[in-house]
Amino acid sequence: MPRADGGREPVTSLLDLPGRLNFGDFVWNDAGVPAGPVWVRVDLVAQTLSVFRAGQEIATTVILYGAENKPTPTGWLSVQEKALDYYSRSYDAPMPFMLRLTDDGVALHASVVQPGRVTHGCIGLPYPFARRLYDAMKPGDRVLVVGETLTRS
Amino acid sequence: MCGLTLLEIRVRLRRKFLSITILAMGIGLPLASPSAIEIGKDQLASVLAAMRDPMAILEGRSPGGRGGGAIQTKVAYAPVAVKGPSERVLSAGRPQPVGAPAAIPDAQLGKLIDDLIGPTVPGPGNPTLVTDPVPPGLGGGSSSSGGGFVPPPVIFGGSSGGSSGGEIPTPPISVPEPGSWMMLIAGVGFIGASLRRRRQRAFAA
Repeated sequence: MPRADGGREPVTSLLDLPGRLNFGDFVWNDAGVPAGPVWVRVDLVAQTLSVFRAGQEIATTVILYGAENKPTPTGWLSVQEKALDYYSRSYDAPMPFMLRLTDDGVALHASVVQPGRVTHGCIGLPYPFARRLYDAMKPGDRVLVVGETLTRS
Repeated sequence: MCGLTLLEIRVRLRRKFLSITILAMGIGLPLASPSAIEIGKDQLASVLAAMRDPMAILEGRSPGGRGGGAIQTKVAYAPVAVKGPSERVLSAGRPQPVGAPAAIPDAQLGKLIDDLIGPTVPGPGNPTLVTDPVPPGLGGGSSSSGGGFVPPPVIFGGSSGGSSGGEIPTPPISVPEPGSWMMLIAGVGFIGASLRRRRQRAFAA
């Protein structure tokens, strides 16, 4: 996995799912995975998110991402702020388990993940998944957002 | 949620640590470890395929790309611009008058009162501006004796007042009409439905 500093993020294992995930589904299985640095890979084209710990994938889910006129930024980002029960004044909407990624408010947060929905740039997660991800991540942890413009290797 | 739990269990049972040590996903160097042998020969082919293209695993779980016609989850909140003092009586609002209100001429005052409270029967004492707080009928036949101003009846459904003379009026009956009840129930139901819908849309992205 290419890193911003030119290095690569080691990945030693992936979850083996029996099939495709549906909207609202998620898998969180960190049994036997040792403690270690946590980072997240978001694939906008595939509409999936994977959580890695100590180089092993421990969780995955289906996400929502930004509309064409409000695209989700791509590249390496990092968690700048955590808020358990955030309320957006800009959109008059609650955003539970908010992990802010950019200065202008793009964040990972719980959302109603249903087919056909888009966001204003945030990354929407199923509610129970967002709760677990909120507990697993801390400020400074990195998030790689992969879109069509970024190489998907 | 039950399906989700089953999914997790299936994944937990079927999870196989590929141990392929991909240093770079997609371009990494796959190194076979002893644990890779434990997964069985029947799955070796899929493991080897995954080692060649691990991105296929990630793309294989995708629900697919987003098609056109996606809907917006919420609209931007636009605060109402403040334009200065205005009365909120009218829907469009109108500016507050500056300075003291103009005095109403006495000639128009009587007509204005007539318009506001209806035609009155002036008594002999004071023809226009007598405000007797005693309701009709409680004055002991004052209207029949012509003892002052008799205000018009303001109680809906009550008796006509002064002409009866000395009779205590019955209290007004305030039972709403069936239509009023239906409107009240429909209004409460609408408010409840809106709150419920708003709560369901609470986790908009």
